[in-house]
Amino acid sequence: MALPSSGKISVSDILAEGGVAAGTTTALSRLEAGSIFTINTASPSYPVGDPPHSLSEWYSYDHSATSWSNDYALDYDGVNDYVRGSITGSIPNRTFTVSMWVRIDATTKHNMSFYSFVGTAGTITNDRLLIYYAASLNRLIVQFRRGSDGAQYIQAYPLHDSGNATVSGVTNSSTGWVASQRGNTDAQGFTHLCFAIDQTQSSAANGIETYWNGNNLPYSVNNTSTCNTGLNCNYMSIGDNPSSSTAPSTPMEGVIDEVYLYSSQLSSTNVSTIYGYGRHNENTFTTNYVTSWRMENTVADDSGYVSLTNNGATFITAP
Amino acid sequence: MYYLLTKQQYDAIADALTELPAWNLNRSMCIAHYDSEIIEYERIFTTSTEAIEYRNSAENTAEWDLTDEELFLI
Repeated sequence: MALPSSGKISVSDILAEGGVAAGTTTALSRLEAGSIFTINTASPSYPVGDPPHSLSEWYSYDHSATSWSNDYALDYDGVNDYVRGSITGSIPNRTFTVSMWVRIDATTKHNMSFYSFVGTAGTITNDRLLIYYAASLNRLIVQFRRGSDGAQYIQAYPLHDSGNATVSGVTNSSTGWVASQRGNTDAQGFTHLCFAIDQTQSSAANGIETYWNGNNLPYSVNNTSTCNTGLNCNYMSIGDNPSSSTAPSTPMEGVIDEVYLYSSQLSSTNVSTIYGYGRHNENTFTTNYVTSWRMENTVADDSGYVSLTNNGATFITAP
Repeated sequence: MYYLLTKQQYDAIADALTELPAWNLNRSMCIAHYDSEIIEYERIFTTSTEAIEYRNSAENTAEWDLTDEELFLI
């Protein structure tokens, strides 16, 4: 627990934060010199040690903070790069939220998949979830499909249409979502996508909420709610469609970074909070956190629930 | 570099590749990413963009990709 960012704090508070036994007394100068405990410089805020010394220099000091940085992201070439593997742990597949940052580098629009899980790799009619961009209609689509009967649970968002264009910034459907029309992004061209899903709900309109840079995409078409039963999926991909017999299929052309998975359908407020961290501040939203693929020079997830293999995608630095 | 290879051409150099290639639908041709020289090939693309344009061209796409209807089964 970090020290407060404002208000009254005491030397005792600082000592307690530093793990020093109660009853110890010392001077601020000795604290700032690191004579009593070693100051954790991974803390977002810590005193510099130079006089004059003041209690306010300890505001927000977090003795247990770990260093955090976003040094890498995963770059897919759109030709043969893909990241696939078996789900071996507890990955939610009905009620969950996926948060990810993407940068589209395609010169001309084409289909691209972002996050998918399937029953069996290479079998297109298995149970599956696909989250993908359908280029022909310029739509971002979240699609569950039950293999046994083809029942679906879908929300499809035309990026250029109605209220979506304001949110996405991808206004020209013919051009599509490409590098020259990335829409609303951060300074490095990345968009934060968040898919908040509760497939147990009878209506996909309520069960699928999609956010672009923290803003809900308000308009969807082809909404279908005939499949809100559980699916049997043990294989997943980040960046292509693993249900196709070819690999990759609908491959990502661009960069994916900081993929976080939660076990609940997060609220718009929660999504806004996550978006607010940006890509270069630690995402400290931990409610119902399951795992993350931070793409920090590895495609392994933080909790070890999935065994992904990277075929050719490149870790780029300082994304 | 990206090389368009027949299956026979791919088999001859497969052990040297560090990445699996992208195959067309009937697995007769593939596009392999390899930064060293390949002697036997059908076509060479100097950038990924060129390879994607080839694959997605109106002339070739039916050999490489399922249709949206087949792929997404909406």
